[in-house]
Amino acid sequence: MSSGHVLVLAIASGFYVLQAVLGLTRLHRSRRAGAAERWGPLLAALLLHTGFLVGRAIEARGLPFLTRLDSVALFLWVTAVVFLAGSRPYRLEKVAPLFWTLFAVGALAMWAFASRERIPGASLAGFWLLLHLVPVYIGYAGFAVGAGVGAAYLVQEQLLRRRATGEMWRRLPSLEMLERVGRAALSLGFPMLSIGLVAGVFWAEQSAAPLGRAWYADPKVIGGAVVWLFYAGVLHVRLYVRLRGRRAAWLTIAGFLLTLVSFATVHVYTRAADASPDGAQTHGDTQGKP
Amino acid sequence: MTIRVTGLNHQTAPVQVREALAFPKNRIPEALAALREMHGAEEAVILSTCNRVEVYVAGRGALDEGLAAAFLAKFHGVWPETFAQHLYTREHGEAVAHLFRVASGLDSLVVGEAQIAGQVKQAYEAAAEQGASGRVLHRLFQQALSVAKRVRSCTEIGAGRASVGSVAVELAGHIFETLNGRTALVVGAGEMGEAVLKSLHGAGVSATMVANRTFSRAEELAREWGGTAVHFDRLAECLPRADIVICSTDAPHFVIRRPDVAEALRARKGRPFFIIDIGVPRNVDPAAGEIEGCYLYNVDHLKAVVEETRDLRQREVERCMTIVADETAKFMAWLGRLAVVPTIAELSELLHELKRQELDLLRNKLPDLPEPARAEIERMASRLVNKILHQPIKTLQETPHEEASGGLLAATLRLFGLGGGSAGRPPARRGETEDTR
Repeated sequence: MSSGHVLVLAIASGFYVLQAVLGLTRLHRSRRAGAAERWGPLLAALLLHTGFLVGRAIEARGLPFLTRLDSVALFLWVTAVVFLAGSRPYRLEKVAPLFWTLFAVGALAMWAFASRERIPGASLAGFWLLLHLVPVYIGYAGFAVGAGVGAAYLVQEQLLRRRATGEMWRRLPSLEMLERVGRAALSLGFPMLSIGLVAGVFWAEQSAAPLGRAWYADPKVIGGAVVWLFYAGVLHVRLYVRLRGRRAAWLTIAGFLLTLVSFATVHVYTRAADASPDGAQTHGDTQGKP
Repeated sequence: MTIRVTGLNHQTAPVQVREALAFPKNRIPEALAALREMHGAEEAVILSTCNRVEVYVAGRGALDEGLAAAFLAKFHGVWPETFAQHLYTREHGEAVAHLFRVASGLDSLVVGEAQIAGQVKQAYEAAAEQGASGRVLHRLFQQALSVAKRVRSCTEIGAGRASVGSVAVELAGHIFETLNGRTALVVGAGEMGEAVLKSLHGAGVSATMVANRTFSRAEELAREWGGTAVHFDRLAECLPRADIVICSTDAPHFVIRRPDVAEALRARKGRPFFIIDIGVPRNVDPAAGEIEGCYLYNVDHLKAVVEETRDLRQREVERCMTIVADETAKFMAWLGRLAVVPTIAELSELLHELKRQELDLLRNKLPDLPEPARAEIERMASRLVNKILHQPIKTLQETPHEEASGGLLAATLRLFGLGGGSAGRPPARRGETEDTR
């Protein structure tokens, strides 16, 4: 990865952090911000972020998955796009400051945990891999948005309960709306994850043979399955048992945390495998899976 | 050019004085005509609301406080002594800033209220229809309306709610995505409960149930709001159907208990429930507010939000005043330019006339001068006049209104012999007398 690419992504991350800081400041002050303040840093960040991904895609001659930094950067980009796409129809302006704060944390975590080293043997050819990765990323983005909205719900609920009707309370959306957006995010994320996982199984089945290993033994597959099962449960209780309110919000947040834990665990495991003398690799690593 | 406002408002006069001097809408044209015909106001606008009566005038020697008081006394048939001590008068920049504050709601009883901008607009339109507002007041009122907009959009002066009813609406708006189609249950038929219901209806609540110990009163209120009356002893059965409950009975005990709310929430399958308890003593068991999904606010909570809003708006006043000061300066600069326009025109006319005279003289003295040379001389003369005029015009335009009208304008008039009469005419040519000219 060239230092130019790294610099572009680093500046983009800086703009995301600036966007979050300005957003949080606005929650506590009464002055209305101008369009330049509300959109300027975000626009700059997205342009740079997109530029980074395009540059990496050109280098990879396909989807930019050569390193883990690529994977996480793409995931963050898809999350930002999903959120912005839903902003107008779901009137998410009021959740935006909290969302971009979580997003900035994600961007900083990317630098702390995502390696810039090229994944050995990374290859991104094939229809099934494309059908696997794109929906999985959109699904995870949906879960991230759902978790952000869930956090906003908990904050708003607490403020209403404590009758703390300050600036933050005034600027957060209604409980019902947060509930609805949370359900919509799950309803987007879960089918996408399902499609992605099924496609992943087909892809893994095809590429497993040369490695001499059963696809279902892959830690990424197991991690994905655990996340899928958890979200299936969350969606079930939210849609059919009609679980609402605080518990539903906590479950959505827990689901996303589980996703992150699953990702981190598999990441640690696969790094250890990469470093082992026998060079054991998982399917995910060989193909730069998230 | 003088701009002056004379009037009284909620801060300076009690309601009975304001009432006595208020102008009914249908008598405004008559009052404007009287102001202009009998009192010599060149331009006039009358702003009359429940909280203020103000007469804005503009022109040379616009009517002073004494004349304005006389006008008010004569028009309303009251003695000037009954209200003279409540009157205030502001002039020039202060009058302009005053109108800007009024239009922005900064001078209102409830700071930041938006209704006043509409009333200012109506007052101006009424004057415009009568031809009572001229160039100055037209510009002043147009700018006042744009200042009001700027203040509202650039500050939080209009933020929050300033009455218990509107606070209830705002709280409901933070629980429910929309109030359209929601059901409200009113328990008790007190005045405050009705006021809250009115606000909720205004925000979209469509269905109403009314429960009262006196069923006939419940029926009466239900009829008024197009709802249904409910027997008081069947209150618990109605709870699950209500999204918003307003309690305002004078019962000495709780009329809604925790188990009632818990049961209602179960029946509502967890959908949130907003209870406004404005009864004193309280009508709803405070323990009900601890149940998830139930948001219980009593009268003190609502009043605290009202106070918060007032504090918030009060904090914004300073920022609004900066905008008002900025806009006042802009207006006064315009007014200053307006005041020097006749002088500039006269000065320009004087110098161009001198140029024409000198060119005529030259033509007579040198009749054989070739045409190209004459044209060139004329162009040179024009350039010379324009260069001479440039600096005085620039100075007059850029000098603040007060300073210009104070000395500079008078000095210009005197130096160049302007201001009408023989002093304003170009000097006589050599060999010419005043009579032969």
